[in-house]
Amino acid sequence: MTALNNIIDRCDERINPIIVKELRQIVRGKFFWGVLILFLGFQCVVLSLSLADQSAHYNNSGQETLMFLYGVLFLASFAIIPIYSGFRFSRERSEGSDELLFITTITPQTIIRGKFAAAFLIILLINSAFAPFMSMTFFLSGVDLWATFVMILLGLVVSAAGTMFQICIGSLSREGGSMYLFRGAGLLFQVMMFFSLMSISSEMVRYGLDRTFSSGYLYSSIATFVTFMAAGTYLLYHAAAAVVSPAGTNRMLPVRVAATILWLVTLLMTGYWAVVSSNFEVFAIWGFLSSYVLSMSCLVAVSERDFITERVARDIPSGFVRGRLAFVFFSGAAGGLAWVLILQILTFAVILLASGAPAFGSRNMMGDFVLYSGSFYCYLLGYSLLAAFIRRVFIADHIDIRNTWVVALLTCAVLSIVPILAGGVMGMGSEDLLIANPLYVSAVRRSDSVLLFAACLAVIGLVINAAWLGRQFKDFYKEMDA
Amino acid sequence: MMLGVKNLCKNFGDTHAVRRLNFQLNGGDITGFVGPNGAGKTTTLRMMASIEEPSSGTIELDGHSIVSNPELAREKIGFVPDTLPTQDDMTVFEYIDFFARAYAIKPARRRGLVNDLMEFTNLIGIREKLLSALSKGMKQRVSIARALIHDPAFILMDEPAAGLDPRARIELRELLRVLSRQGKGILISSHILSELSEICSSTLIIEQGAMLKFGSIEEITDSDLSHRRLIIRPLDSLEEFANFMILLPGVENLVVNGKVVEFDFAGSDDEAFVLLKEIVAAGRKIIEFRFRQQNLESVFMNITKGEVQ
Repeated sequence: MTALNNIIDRCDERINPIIVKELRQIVRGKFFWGVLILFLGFQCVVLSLSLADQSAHYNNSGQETLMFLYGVLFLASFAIIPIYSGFRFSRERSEGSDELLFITTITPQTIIRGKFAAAFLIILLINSAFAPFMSMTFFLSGVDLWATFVMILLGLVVSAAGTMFQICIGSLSREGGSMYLFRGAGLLFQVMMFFSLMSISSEMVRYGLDRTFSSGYLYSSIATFVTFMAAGTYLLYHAAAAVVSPAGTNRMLPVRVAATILWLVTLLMTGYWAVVSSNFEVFAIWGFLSSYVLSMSCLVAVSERDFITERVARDIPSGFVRGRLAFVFFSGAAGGLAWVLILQILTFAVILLASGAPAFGSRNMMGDFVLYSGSFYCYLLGYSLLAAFIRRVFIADHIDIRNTWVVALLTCAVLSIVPILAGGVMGMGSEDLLIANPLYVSAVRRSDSVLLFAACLAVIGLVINAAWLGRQFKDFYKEMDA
Repeated sequence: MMLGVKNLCKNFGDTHAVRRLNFQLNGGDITGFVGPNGAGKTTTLRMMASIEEPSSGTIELDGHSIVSNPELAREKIGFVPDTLPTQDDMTVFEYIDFFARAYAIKPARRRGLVNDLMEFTNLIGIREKLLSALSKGMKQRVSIARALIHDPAFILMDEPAAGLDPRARIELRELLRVLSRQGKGILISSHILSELSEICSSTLIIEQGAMLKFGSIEEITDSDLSHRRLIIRPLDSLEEFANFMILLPGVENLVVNGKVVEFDFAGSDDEAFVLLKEIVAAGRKIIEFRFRQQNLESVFMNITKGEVQ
């Protein structure tokens, strides 16, 4: 008995406290039982009606019944439970009850892991409760067991990603207006994704796995999909943990390390696909995706603090190489911009190398990549730096540095809309008036002028912020030497 | 153990919430933290609890900075915020057990500790009640139990008596005395000054983020010489004595109150002695000559202006 108690105690000791708390709260709530009982009731009724209908055995109504049952399950596991988890987290953040956790031994990572694990356990519980009903559809005709099994597994993977996405949204939304904005956007995105994924699931059941993935590389395709989902979940996990981390901590270090690892993993995966399919154009797809995500990171970078806190200074490693690497990876606006720049250069280098390969196909790919990705990066860098300057010089007392990204988006919106309005008033209708809008790059015929404008914007941003960026760089190395 | 605050500052944009605060807490002391609304009390307590980071200055626990090593604060400091627990769908036991887990207290120790703590804070009878069903006083007890779970050396309390009924306030006072006897240093912010003066060994008064006074209650009340009221009981006719006194230098706002005359005297003890000599030299017979005992409330009203930033 003592040995058993010891084992129980050891397990108890290792359980994340947030999981225990969350499960206690969720299971006590009426919401969980309401969803479970209501949806189980649906499943029961639909299955009973389908089984009672004798004609169902002679057509594909097994597939239809399965898709209906799975739709209900997927609604619960991909939409309802993740949105509910995100909402609960958002409410805790707005009440400030999570703050007390930061004076315990719990880390922000533990909190996010706990929230995620608790929600995922509930998803697994709901899946296991619905499984017997879905397995009964096998007695009806037209159900491919293997496709169903893969569909449920992939459903769990995307549900995990959806849960982490909602937790990340929940971590962002802390105060009044932004809370409703982020929650609304998160809800909309999840609902849109639900319908898109349901149509893919439906295709899997109806036409089988091979036709859905249509590449001849079924397992590789599934592995790639799962890897991308896992990578996204991993990045969102670190992003959420960074958002909830207390002020003054080195919150960007794990995010940048995770993003760099993902950049490498996805590059390797792209290399694999390029080799097996003998088509090096997949590098261009990877390049566009990486470059766009990195460009958006400029908005995050300029919203970071521009001085070194004691907690960050404490962790700066000594040594020439490690110290310089730390500047790029540690929290700080200038370091963040440097990190984005380095990865952008590496991305362009990879595309340049790949474009030289005989299997690259279209010779215009590199030109298109430079035009679209290069100009988008220059636009985002330019607007981010312009916003950093405007906030710092004119509105520092009213807008905190963490909201610089809002100033950047507003600046971009103003510079994109005002020329069009002014042109309308003055009777000018040239598409050149759209040149300040980063999203209209494809609409402007004179692509060289777009690239030139974006580059000028970035250079102006760098020049007006040179002293600010230089000061951060010097401060960092002063701390390193100290 | 010693918790010291040195040149502590906190700025929010242009607003200086805390300006160069310097004070020290010792184990076993109960220190009152007093100031008008918006004086910077909550910000100071949050910085001491390592929730907020100072703009400059340090907070040291036995000489070690908890600004650069907040892990130190987590081990040795308990914090009772001005908000009550909001996890309404948890029971009292679950709430305290959760924080015991959060402090990584081993399961074998945790079970006994949670029960002992609930007994100590008089929560044992309501252990299975949901937090939503508790009164404000009971929720405050739960909050204190949570802050004590890791046996901290210092406890920071942000207005724990706000909104409590008289019985709950008396019970809270007793609880603080017990904790003080156990050697725990307590910093308690409150607006109920009469209660603070009953339990506190020292008081810190701040306004607009800056320290106005810090010391024992006696030191603070005795140090405020500018607003002392002198009471004299003459044997002569009271009216005649009052007419004599009103002509003397340093005597202001004189009133006859029963058998005594009372007036504001802004001078030092030496000057009071000179006044006494003057009265006796004039042949006046007096049988009582004393200062009215100042209390924390009157000192607070005298030295603060009630201005916020």
